[in-house]
Amino acid sequence: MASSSSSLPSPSSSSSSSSSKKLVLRSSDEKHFEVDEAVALQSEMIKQMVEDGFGGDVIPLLNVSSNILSKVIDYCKKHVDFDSKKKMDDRRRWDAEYIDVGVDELYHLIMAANYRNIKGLLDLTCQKVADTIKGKKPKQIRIIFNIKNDVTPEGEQKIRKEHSWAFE
Amino acid sequence: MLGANKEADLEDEELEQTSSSAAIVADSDDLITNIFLHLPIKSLLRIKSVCKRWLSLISDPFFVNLRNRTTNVVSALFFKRVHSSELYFVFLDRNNSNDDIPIRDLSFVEDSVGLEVTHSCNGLICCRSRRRCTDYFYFTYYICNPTTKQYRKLPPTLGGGVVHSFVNIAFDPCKSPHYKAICISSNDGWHWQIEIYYSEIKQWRQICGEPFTSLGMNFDRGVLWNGAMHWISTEGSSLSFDVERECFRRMPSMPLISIDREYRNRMYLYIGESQGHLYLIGTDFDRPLDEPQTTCFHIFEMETDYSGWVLKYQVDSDVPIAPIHLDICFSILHLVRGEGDEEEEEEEDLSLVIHTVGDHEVFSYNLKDIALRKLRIVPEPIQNSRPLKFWWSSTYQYIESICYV
Repeated sequence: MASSSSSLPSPSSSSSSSSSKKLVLRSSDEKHFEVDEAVALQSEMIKQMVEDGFGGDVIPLLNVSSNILSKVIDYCKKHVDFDSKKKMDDRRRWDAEYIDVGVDELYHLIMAANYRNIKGLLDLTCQKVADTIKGKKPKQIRIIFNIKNDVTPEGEQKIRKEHSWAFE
Repeated sequence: MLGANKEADLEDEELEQTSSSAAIVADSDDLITNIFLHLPIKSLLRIKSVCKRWLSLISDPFFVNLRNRTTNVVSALFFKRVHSSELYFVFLDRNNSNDDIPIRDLSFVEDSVGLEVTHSCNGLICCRSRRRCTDYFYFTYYICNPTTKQYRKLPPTLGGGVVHSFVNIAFDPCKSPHYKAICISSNDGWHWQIEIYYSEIKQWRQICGEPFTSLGMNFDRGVLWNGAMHWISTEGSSLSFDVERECFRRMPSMPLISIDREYRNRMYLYIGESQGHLYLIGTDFDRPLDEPQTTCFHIFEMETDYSGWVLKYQVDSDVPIAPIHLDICFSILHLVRGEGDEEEEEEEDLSLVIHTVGDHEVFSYNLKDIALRKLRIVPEPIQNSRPLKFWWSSTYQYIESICYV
């Protein structure tokens, strides 16, 4: 089943943008990152800013610190690469290693992915949190998110009764 | 409230500590909803008791819809054995190591007579019981969600007692949170009448017009695709009923499998939808289906504009299912299209789910890689017990869903 077509990364497929164009991003702690436009455009928010004419200037990312931003850029770089090759298994393996981070970093990544609107990274990080809380008891989950229990014992009983099978 | 045995509760896993960033994420409705979307239903129902805010977020119809739209994947097929209430599940996802089957039987539906499953569609299933009165049957239909174990007993159909009756569910969570139940009934097996139950108004309505005529149609196996319900007969007729406009659509004629053979040698084994595509499988077997035969069949796909059936695969006997057993008869239970990229059109990633009838085994057969993979049956059938016989006509799809009945 050999395919004859070569799979060299094609220069950006859309019409006008040149592949070597660079953008400069600025983190909340005033550090500058120069990245390929294709990498930066993984973020829907930056895409929007470029379309609105911000492209020539430094793009300020007020909510993202430099260490989180560099981690996010890692993700975008790698996924620009993946998008041109389409290797599902490689992508999964890389994602799994990438997301093996500490608690604080994970939640900061979620916020950065959400703020910059990078769907792939948001799904990856949210899946990781979901996997962690999946088997946990409500009590344990309240500790993780620092949530105050405002459900009355009667209320909890009602939920348990309604979905008794889920609590087995 | 946390008390002294806090330590004991926490099985000190890495994420189980309060972090200020976790609290910020949990405070955002958007972000926490996004996390909820990645949870299995069981966890989702359990965490309703974390706090009032979570309870209201998870119960919100907006969320229910979002969740049903984003994860609408057939995770398992299930079957009911004749003369037994036990259900068997076959998990399609190779990563599913879960022995947790959603239901063991239909006992969560209260009915004194005994139930059979009659249809499944996008997470909902239809069950029925019947009571005989002279020459007619009175059917009681239930629409159930096997994931949440909620069910609704439908009011009696307007037609009253009949000889033949089939109910198909038309439910597409991407289009509407409401469903319709299409009841097709007849007293002579030739003249048929349609009634529709609307979940939104909880009522049946008779579809006007003369009864239509049809013979041998598998009305219990309706397939919802492109806004219409599709039925076929094994001999080669087909019908398409537009669920929104409530009228029949013209269907292109069924494809000929081999022109030089006589009509009676054609046999249609399967019609089903996967990833938005409608597939039909036919064969030109010479022998009846319950005898051993070769593995030669043809897979067709319907054009989106209904212009015709296109041959997608021809599985010849030299691409055998031989690794299983040569001399055993098999049934095709399901056809799955892989989630691969649409652009790689030339070779579609299709897998057949095949059951070696009379044996305790179900396989997934990938047509692209010619790879055969054994699928797990849960509960595991007891060896030496009566052999399992699963057919397409009694195979139902399980899709995890929190949709309301």
